[in-house]
Amino acid sequence: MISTQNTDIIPENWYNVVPDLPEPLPPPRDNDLHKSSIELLNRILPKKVIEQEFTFRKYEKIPDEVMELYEQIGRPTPLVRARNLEKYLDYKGKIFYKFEGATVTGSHKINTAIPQAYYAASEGIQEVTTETGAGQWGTATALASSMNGMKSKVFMVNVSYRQKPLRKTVMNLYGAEVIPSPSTITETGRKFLSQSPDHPGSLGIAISEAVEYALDNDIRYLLGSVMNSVITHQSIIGLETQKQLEIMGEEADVLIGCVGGGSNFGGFIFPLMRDGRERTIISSTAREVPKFSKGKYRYDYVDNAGILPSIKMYSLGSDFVPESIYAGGLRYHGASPSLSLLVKNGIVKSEEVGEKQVIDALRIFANTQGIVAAPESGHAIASTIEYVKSNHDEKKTIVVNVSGHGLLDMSIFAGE
Amino acid sequence: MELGYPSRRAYYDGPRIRETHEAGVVNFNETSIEKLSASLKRKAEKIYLLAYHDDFLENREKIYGILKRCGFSGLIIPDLLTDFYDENEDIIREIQGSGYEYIPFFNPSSPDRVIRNVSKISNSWVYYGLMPSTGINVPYSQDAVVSRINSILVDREINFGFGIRSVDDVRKLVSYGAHGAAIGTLLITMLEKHDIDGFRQFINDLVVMRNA
Ligand SMILES: Cc1ncc(COP(=O)(O)O)c(C=O)c1O
Repeated sequence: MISTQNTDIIPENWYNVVPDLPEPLPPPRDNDLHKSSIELLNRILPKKVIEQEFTFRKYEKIPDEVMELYEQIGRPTPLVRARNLEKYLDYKGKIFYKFEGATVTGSHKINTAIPQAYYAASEGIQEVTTETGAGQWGTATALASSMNGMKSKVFMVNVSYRQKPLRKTVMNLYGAEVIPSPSTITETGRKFLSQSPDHPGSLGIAISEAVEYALDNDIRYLLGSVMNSVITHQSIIGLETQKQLEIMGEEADVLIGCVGGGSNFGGFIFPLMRDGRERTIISSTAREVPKFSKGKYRYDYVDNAGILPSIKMYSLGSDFVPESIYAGGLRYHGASPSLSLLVKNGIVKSEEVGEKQVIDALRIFANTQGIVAAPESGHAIASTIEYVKSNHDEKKTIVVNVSGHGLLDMSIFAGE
Repeated sequence: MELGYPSRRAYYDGPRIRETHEAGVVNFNETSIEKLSASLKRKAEKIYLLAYHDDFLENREKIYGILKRCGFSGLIIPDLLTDFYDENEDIIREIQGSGYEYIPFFNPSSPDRVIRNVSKISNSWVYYGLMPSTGINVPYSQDAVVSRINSILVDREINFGFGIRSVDDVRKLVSYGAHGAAIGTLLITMLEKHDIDGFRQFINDLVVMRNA
């Protein structure tokens, strides 16, 4: 025994939704018909991750070593009834929140960083690289790499690098080297810097830089969101939630979460959808990044330079430059193919929330439940409050996924 | 035997087969496909045409004409069940209504219920891609892939393709219960290198294996 956490709640297997989807998932496509960018994945991703990306298996055993690390970083995370929020809203139903901010790095991102780093280290790899926008993913990568005995290099979007010095400090503490993107160490970075020496950077550019760096140095690249394998790892959120609801004798009628690339949301809802029960499922995106309402469902680039294969998803275009909102994790131009398919089919509803509404929701949640949630998660909380207000007399059980804490994003309240 | 209708959008083929499409687009004419299919028909029991969705829709009459004149048994549309899923029922009914087999093409990412539903409305054998595209290597266990599709489609003839690299691969697939295997990239690479002996040897080995 290594903790008094109730580890029975941690599932033995991850769940992969692809074989259970109502329609086939359009596979990735090469951007250039003369080259195989899919084949390129073989050079930058751990073998096991590629296998999980394309597998037909619904369940994937969580390796023992990963299980142990999950426990070390605070899994299972709590599922808590938000009694004070219910009272504040005078709601007759119930509101539960799953709190991924309780992990040591402060968000769900560690759930996939650990297995990806583990698989890379098992192949004898000594260094990994990735990009980060708001910093949550870079933080998770930094810790997961150190825990698996590897170095890490994180390309951080330049604006965040300047606005969030504490994030860089945390990543450094965890052992990562953090480089503002665009940088001078990749061709992609140099190209953008030559256009504008003070380039603010974007997630798409940082992804291209990390992938290029991985290819040039024969190391591995960790995927932060969007891809099937990542969502499979994140299914731990929904699988735990399901067991926790069972223990409490509850059933979820309404599921709510926020969407950047779709990983916390997919990981949360997919396992809970397995029973086929009718329920309301709401994805909350940033009004400033209206991917589901203004984006098109089509094949598009994952990264700016088009190094990775294209995937079919709702997208605002890989060259979309979002407003600089606090919820940096929601600024990505697209959303995972599996989630996009369910939005297209109307199985998942989408809602957009503006920053002002998010700040109000964060304040209410802090005030009632004591949790300073991440700005990204603030979208899910705002949608929850909105749902309760518009369905006030219903007696439903709402479960909202609070993907992270916001203790390093307090500047969102500075102007208040 | 499978012949490809040349396409500029051969997305689900790997780089090698895409090159053959490119050459095909430039050199294609109906006489050449007639000649080719006539000689293939002397060797193969049945021949099938593979055409991508957009090419099929844009050249429907022409393609039906080719199917008829050349004696093709049916049609494979590799992107129908992914990018044009909404249209699948209409197109399948149309092809079957015109007297041709429609060959469903599935891969490991095809959901179970899609495999079941599409197989129900079609009555031919099934083409199962071992990979999401030809010409690339995604690690997988042949054994598990074959038993998955066999467990969903009991008593259906299933032929496998994508990523088959040796006679040994074919032998293993057959031992797991495959009815047949489609080989593309491997042979094209041999032909490109003018490795006619290797090509003959490979075909010979296959025949020996089949007769064993
Ligand atoms: C706390 C938090 N929530 C949500 C997201 C959005 O990502 P995803 O949609 O992949 O969960 C991020 C991304 O950085 C995040 O840090």
